[in-house]
Amino acid sequence: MTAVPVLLNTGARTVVGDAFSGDLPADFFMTLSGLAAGAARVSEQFDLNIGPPGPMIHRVWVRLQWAATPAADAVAEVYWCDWDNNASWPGGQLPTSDTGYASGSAGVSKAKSLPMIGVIQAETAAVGPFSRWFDVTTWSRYGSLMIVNRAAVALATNNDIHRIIIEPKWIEGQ
Amino acid sequence: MTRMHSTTFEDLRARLLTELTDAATAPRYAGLGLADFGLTGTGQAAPASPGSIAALEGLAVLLNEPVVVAAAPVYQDVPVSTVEGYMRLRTHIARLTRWVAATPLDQDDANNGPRDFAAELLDMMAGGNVGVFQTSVPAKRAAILGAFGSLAALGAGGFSAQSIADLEAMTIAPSTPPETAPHRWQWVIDGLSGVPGPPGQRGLPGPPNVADVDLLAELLA
Repeated sequence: MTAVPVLLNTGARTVVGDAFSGDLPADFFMTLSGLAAGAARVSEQFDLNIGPPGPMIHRVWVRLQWAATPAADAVAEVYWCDWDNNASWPGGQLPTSDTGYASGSAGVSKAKSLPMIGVIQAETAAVGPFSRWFDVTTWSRYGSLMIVNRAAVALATNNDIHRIIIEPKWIEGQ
Repeated sequence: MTRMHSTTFEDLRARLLTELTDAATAPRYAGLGLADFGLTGTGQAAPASPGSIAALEGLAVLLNEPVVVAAAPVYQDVPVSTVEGYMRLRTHIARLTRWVAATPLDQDDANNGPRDFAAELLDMMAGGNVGVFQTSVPAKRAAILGAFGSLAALGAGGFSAQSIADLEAMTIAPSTPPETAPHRWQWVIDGLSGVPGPPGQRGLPGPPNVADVDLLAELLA
């Protein structure tokens, strides 16, 4: 089976990353450009495609940059949501498409019910870009990401610098 | 420009118009009327002009900058001794004593109320059981300041509008620094979603995180 990375297009435009396209179902949107301090964004629901029986491990690469210098150690939190359609579970309460939430709003509080897979942290007081990977084990075909910018400054207004790539890691391929 | 679905676009437009016309938030845009944004109020777009473009630029700045919220005043009790000290320093006690002595009590005299208040005030300051003016209670604060105001209205004891302003200032607790609230555009887009695509296909994005002039022009046209 071919690994099918999903490129999360974090810009405002539709760009397919050829290097990752393979037979991936589609790229998915998450508008991170200019994400304000304290604000959150939920990605479009993504389709990880049909995987092998059993859990799948996905490596999630995230790269972000701030618009102005944040304090050293400032973070943007990255949350993962496995999808279900039951409104009483977290996945059922998230929108299925690219959505913004204001700082301090009830929408940002939705993150409290989601597992945080980690943070992008400013290594020093610099705009970045800062990047890291997270490994996520999931049994679900569908998922969403939520990113909360906890820094005191907005993310860069830039369609290209912010990038998220979700790459399946098959057990037998390790 | 970002292509949003028309549903998202119309939702965003409705939110923006509410933001610009809602009584709670509109004062922030007081210098800019709908006409400044190229709207006629009849659903018809007014011709774009250099003025409207400048207004849109101003609007974009206002929407994107954090809102500074001044803290509401907190009232506090004022010790009688504080007021006494204030009055003695300005010789109000001596002048008020003379005014009370010179103002006869008359059943029909409008001065009776202020005169009685002045007499009570002098008694209180001569030594008594009253320790504080309970000005932390808004209703009592209004009554107490009103009584001092009645003296000022008569010019009794040398009280003036400035004296009342000084006394009012004593009732306000040291102010907390103003707070910064999220910029308003965040609230305009709060919870607005894009539109999911059909299975296996990309959808359309939600509203952008930052308002720009081009988008505003399109929304308000």
